Amino acid sequence: MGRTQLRLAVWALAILTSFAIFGEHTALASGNNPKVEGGGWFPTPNPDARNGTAKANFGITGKFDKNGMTEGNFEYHNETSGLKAHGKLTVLAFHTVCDPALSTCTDACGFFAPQLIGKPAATVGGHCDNASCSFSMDVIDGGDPGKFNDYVCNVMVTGPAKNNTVSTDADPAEPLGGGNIKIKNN
Amino acid sequence: MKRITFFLIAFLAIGGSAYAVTSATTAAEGIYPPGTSFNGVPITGLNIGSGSLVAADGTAEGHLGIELLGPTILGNQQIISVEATVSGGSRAAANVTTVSGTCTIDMGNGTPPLTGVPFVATITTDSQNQGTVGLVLGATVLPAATINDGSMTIADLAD
Repeated sequence: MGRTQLRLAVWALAILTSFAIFGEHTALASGNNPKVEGGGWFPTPNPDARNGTAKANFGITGKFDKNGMTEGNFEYHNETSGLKAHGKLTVLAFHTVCDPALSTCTDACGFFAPQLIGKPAATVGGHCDNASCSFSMDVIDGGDPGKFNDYVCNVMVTGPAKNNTVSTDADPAEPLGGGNIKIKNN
Repeated sequence: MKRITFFLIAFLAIGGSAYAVTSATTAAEGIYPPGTSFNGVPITGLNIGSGSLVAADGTAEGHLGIELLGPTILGNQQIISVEATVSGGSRAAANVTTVSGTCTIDMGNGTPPLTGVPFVATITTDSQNQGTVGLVLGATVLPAATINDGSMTIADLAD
């Protein structure tokens, strides 16, 4: 093989490598890595709210890196109490909402919202970077639109609130009042 | 040969960086400058909850749930709901992410929701994990809302 041919061969290898990397798939679409993303708000009981119900805004992203480590972020904000929590996800587990009638089912979400049995769900959780808050909930992709179809379940959030207080939101299950949750779990 | 090797390494390096993903999450409240309006409705602030993943190649996924806070008349506040599905995005700076796509807008006044409206949202964070949210809804460019409660995060995720 002559010098010119060798040069052409190396260039061809470089170009093919580029096509393999930049080809039809994209960084988000490639592979079958499970992931969750979404946000919006849901009503949650709060005795200080005018009608006994506060709005809780939330936003989440979650996936696994190529080493299988959890990565993503969470945000949470209760408009009435001022409770807020934000940090990195350290807990991420994908599952399907199970039928509470089954003895093998340990997921409470299907008890509170039977129409969600069989729908994709994710358990997400973490702590604030300064350890001042904790965040945990199940999010359920019930379909489109997210409003009234997607749910949050097993909500447990503790963190700083208004007037230098510490507040906790605990809610067994609520439909989204707005927003959408998308879960890819295959 | 050295030059070719250099370009090959460069190709691979660029390819590797293309897989970096940005996470943009929000759960926040903000206020608009006085005089702000949307479709003729004066708005004073917004609530936002969102989670988006933005790849370096411009693809993106996620959703924004936004409420634009309108006037209160006889004790009832007009709330304009914006449900936005993200399909594209970019990272202009370490603290600035722009996402775009289409949205459904419910004016909250009984009129049918507007569907398929293009949107662009620019999320800019500050050192307090707040900052601003800029929205372009259809042909309407809203001034940036200043976040005054809650939090927003723009972060790098590995492949």
